[in-house]
Parts: sequence; structure tokens; C-alpha cells
Amino acid sequence: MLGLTTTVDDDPLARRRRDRRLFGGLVAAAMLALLTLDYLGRPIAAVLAYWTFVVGAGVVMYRSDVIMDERDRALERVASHRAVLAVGAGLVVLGPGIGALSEADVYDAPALVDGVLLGWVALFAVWGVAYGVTRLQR
Amino acid sequence: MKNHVRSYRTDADMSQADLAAAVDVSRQTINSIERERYDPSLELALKLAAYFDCRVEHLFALESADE
Repeated sequence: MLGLTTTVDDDPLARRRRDRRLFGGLVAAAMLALLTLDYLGRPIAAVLAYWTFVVGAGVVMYRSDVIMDERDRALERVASHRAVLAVGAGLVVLGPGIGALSEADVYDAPALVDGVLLGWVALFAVWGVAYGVTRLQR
Repeated sequence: MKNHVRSYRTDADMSQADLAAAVDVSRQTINSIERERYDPSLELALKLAAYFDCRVEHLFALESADE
């Protein structure tokens, strides 16, 4: 048997658990600090604490070589693909439909819906740029 | 894709966690591979074959190749 062995001192599974817990803890702390300090009427401190914890989580994510393995990345790819399909389908169905209903004086959607549709369009714009860059790289 | 990772692992008297640590993935990834719910990358398939000292096509096979 070939020797791709690990030592107890450098157990990648233990490091993965530690890094994942650290990452999750920092994200949870960021949300908790934001909500708590905002509730206590200290909005600037809330944002500062939030960004401190978020930057910490980012550092953990960036520095860890074990926090995600190839299956995690594959899951992310599939989930992202499904999310884009769902948003695309929503945009195709709702985009022209909402406008037509409004023009026909049948239904006026609240402004929030326009904002959501605009957000979806922006998402696809970002996706298009990301796709183009990725295609150039491969 | 079908695979024989579980039988190679049990023959080697290893746990999923042991194998995961040996090839640097999570235990859940080994579990998903054994249950044939996740097809590993070529790199991981080669790592597993190297670890078990066998040919990769003995460890993994297209379903149609087994029929």
C-alpha cells in the first residue's frame, strides 16, 4: 500500500472541522454583533463589528486549504447552476408578464417587484461577465 | 459510474475517516463516493487508485462497462 499517510499532529479532518467551525462562528458572530449593537442604538459600532468578523471569516476561508474539498466545490457548482436556472426562469416568466399586466390595467405590481426584477437582471449581467472571463481563461 | 471503493477500504481495514485523511478529502466525500452519489475528479480517482495500489479502472468503471 502506498504511503499517503497523515500524522495525528497534522490531521486534515481535524483541521477541516476546526476551520469550518471557526468560519461558521465568525459569520454567526458578525450577524449577532450587527443585530445586537444595532438594536442597542449603536449603528456605527454594529457595522464596524460586523466587518471585523466578516474580514476574519474571509481570512479563514482564504488561508485554509482544507475548509472545502472537491465535493463541496461540486455542490456549490450544482447549487449555483440551479439558482441561476431558477432566477432565469423567474425573469423570463415575470419580466414581460408584470409589464403587460400593468399596461393592460389588470394588475400593478408593488415597487418591490420591480426592484427584485432589476436585481435579477443585474445578477445575469454579473454572471455574463464572469462567464466571459472564465471562458477566456480556459 | 460504479466503484469498488468500499470493498477496497474494508479489505484494508480502514474507516471512511482514515481513507478521507489519506487522500485529503472529507469523510462525507468518501461516503458519497461509496454510495455512488458523487463521482470523484480524475485527480481524486488517481489518488485513491495509488493509495490502494491498483489500477484506476479496477476501482472505477462506467456502468455500461460492467453490463
